[in-house]
Amino acid sequence: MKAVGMMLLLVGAMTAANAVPAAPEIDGGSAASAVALLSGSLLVLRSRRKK
Amino acid sequence: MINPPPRDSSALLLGPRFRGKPLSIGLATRVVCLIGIFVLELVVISTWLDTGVLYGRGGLAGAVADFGAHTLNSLVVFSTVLLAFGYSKVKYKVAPIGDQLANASPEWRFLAGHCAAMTVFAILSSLLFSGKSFVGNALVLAWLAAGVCGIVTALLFFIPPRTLRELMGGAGSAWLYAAAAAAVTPALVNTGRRLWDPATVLTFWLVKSILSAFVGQVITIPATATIGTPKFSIAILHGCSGLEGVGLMLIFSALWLWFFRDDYRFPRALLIVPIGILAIFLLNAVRIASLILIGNAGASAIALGGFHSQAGWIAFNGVALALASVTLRMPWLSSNRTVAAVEEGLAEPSPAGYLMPFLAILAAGMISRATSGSFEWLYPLRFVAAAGTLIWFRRKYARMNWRFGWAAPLAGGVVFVLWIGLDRMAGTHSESALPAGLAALPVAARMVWLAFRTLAAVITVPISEELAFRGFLLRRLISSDFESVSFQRWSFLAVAVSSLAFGLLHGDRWIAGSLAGVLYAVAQKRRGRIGDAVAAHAVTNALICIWVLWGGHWNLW
Repeated sequence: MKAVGMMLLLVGAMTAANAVPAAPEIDGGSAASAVALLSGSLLVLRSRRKK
Repeated sequence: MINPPPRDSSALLLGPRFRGKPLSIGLATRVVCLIGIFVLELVVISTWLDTGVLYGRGGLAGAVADFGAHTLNSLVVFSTVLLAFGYSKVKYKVAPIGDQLANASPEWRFLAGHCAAMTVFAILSSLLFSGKSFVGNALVLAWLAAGVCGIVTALLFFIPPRTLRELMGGAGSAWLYAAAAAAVTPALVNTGRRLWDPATVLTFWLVKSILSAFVGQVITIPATATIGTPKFSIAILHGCSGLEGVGLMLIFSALWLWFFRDDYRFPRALLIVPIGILAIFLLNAVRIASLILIGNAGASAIALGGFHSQAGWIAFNGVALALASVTLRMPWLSSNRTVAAVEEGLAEPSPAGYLMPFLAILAAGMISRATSGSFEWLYPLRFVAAAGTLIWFRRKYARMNWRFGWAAPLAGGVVFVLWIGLDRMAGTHSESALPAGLAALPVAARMVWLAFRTLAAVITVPISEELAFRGFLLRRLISSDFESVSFQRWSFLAVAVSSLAFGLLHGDRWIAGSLAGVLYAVAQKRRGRIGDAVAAHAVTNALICIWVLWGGHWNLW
């Protein structure tokens, strides 16, 4: 649940960051799929650890 | 003599599911609802109110103009940090409090109070921000009091006063962290603004150095931060200076280290933060240099289109994943126990089989968009990536129930009607680049592209997305041992969060997407089979394909 919680915070922080200016380096329109990719990959990565 | 029925006979007759009072919900759901209400109200307030009309007014009205935005930023930071750090302090209390609250109705008088406070707040806002000259300190004070009342009553509606006192008391040092973070936020924002110029200059010279290795003549105009070749040049704006990536990496690495602090050796693990920041800053310069080289090679549409929007995220995800994965395997940074566990692959139930097909689609999508202009010619890569991953994990899927009943296609049809209806209600979308892109392809290539697009929509996308959202996320939100959770089990929070996450991935169609998520979850719950959710999703997508191909509604793709 730690990883899920962290990702939710990250999504929140990114949403807040994207709410400020138009972002050429970090494209707000692609944020959802990019964060989903990162979150999912980290969840898979974190599952490969101790119980 | 007939004995009277026990007082709680309804609960005994109906079983444990019905013991709670109507509309009773647990702590996690209440917190999510509270955050939802605050975010919604914040969005409305930020869109509606313009503090600019109060500039130069003097008194409290002038103070609102000067410090309003900073105060709001600090408040959001304070709440986020308090919630994140406070949770780790009181998590042992969360389960019993959740059980307690699940049997208690929300206090409706506080909701009434919240509505009243927000109505007063709205009326006073329209007066305060009207630009009229009668705005005095009393009006500003009343406006602030209404706002504070709105926050407090919403808080008390979802979390009863006694529970709130218990949670606040247990948060301990989280208050200190939250207050410190809120206090430094305005200074950080101002410092960040001052860093735009030096960061742009540094990126400019880095890009120039990289380009010099690949092209003979590099054109530079430092005054406007313009750089390029005789054939293609761009201006490096503040937003391209690398600071956005640095900010995101700072947030990511700090959260990662905090949440998984037990797995690392401190203080040396703190090196992860500057390493991540340096890597993302350098990669931003590589991104801009690559963009210029792509444009110089004649593909300016790709350079300024897909590559420009995707490369930043590809770099960020690459650095974040590399940091997370490599540092866990380094004995110098990680605890020995963690390194051994990672290498042995000892695991909780692995979500890989559920998530990898969907992640393959997302990764392939980022790559195919990064190599495209307005038309995503490499779309078939998404199908190939998903199909390959599904084949890789085929043994895992053989154990699942893929059958479906008549209700699944029906649910799919309902979602299709909803999707089209909401799309029409939303009005016109920007014109799709698909028809022009397809028309530019030879006939055979056009047919192949359409075949892959349709096959992906009807086969690989429904299977991959249902495995990820209904198969994994919905059940993972119920229990960490998600594979032991029946496909028929539900919780309000799990369905709401998994459906909203599914909806958010559909961009401006997020409402239709979220409703679709709920209906696919209903289809799955009915018989406890993932096959029903997949069939419903496939039917929706098949109908949308027909609608697009026969009706020419290309903006739905």
